[in-house]
Amino acid sequence: MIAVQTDDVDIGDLIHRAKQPGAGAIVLFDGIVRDDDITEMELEAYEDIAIKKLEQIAERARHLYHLLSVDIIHRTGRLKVGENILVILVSAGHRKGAYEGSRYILETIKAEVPVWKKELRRDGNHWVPGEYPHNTGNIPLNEEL
Amino acid sequence: MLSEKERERYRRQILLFGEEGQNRLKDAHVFIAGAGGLGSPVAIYLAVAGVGSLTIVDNDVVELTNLNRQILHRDRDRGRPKVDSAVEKLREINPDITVRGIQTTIQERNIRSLVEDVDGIVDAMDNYPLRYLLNETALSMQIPLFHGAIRGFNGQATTIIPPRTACLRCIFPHPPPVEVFPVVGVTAGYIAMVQANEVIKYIVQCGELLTNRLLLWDGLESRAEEIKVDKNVSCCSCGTGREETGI
Amino acid sequence: MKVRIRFFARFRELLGSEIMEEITKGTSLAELVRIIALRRSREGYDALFDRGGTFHPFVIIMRNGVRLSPPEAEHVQVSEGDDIAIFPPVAGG
Repeated sequence: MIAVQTDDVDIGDLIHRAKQPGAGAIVLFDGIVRDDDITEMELEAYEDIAIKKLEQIAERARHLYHLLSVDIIHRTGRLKVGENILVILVSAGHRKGAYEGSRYILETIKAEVPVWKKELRRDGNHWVPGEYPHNTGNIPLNEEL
Repeated sequence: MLSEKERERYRRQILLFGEEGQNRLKDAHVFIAGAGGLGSPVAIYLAVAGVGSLTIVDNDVVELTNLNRQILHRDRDRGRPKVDSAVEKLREINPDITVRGIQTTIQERNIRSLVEDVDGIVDAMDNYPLRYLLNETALSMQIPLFHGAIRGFNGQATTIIPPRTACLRCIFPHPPPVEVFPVVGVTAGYIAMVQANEVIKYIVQCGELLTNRLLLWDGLESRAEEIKVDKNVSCCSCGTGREETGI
Repeated sequence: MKVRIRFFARFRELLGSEIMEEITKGTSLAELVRIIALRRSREGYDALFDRGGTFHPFVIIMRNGVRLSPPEAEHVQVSEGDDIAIFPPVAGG
């Protein structure tokens, strides 16, 4: 499943479906809204291009890491602390492909998918533009989400 | 032929390019399309340089929001046609040249007669449809076009000599989005100086022109950079559709 | 593979003047600029690209002094040491 949507996703269900013949490892990445002096986050995507990009990334990952299945759900709209933002679920025959494929997908999404965020700060009554949600630019990629 | 007064007025620049150069300026007729941000300083400097004949065209009247940059116009000119205000000031600045102002909108049906006998066209417009029209006219009538444009602290300038150089469409095939552009007077001043400088060099025949070169000015960093630009063989305005051969 | 990207005029205000980027082989010029713009700001991205993710037609793209059209930029792959310039025409007068 590749989607850009406001609705949350049933991760349990995704895992259940990923258990197909041949699958030996399933890796889940669940990026959630961190409690970072904010109360809510609002995400907006350029949907057409975002979905196209996610599909391209999934396809590349499948090919590079011999994945059996790839699910990517990127949520948009208003999200509270603790809610799921980005869910990536991959399955592969072995754990190496699953771990590396999952990582590859996440890092590529951060670099290439147009999603924009605004934050409702704890101390303010107004929405301020956040940095692009996957990378503030100053923090090393792997520390952010 | 220069009068005694002219020899005196232009003495300091005659040191640079001789009476021959000054006579060329005196014999020249330059058309300035626009009496606004770029048009004002261009006109002033061409007037003091002694360009013999200036024709300045603009359809607008002076408004308060013009006055942060359109230095030919004063508070008392508000509501007055820009060309009237411009001509009045330019004649004060240099009574020894001929200055003509025409209040009209430049369009396809009047442009050719407007620039019939001019030696150069200064692009001091503020929109691309009219800039492209000037470009087409310059190409078809083979008149040099001195392009300048500004936004904020940034500006660009280039000189177009038909038929041999890149034209405006070669460089900018698509216009940027239309907007009320922010601008500070000094940006207009800088780019207008580049344009006026080009006009003078062209007429006097000295130095190297900004042909096939696009000057990009960044006033925030005080940096002028240059991009080489080439004639585009498939340019919709000047393209021949095939490579020029050396044969 | 290292590449230099310079922005001018409005793009410079939004995206910075010069970026040295480490990029993987096989990346197209357009892709490279998209990645940089996404990292900077929405305003920067929107100034360069439309909602479909392609360059606005008026964006001027130069690679090592050679002009590329936006469609060409989608196919042309960047090479080590490339010097890329991106800017918009300005319109005011």
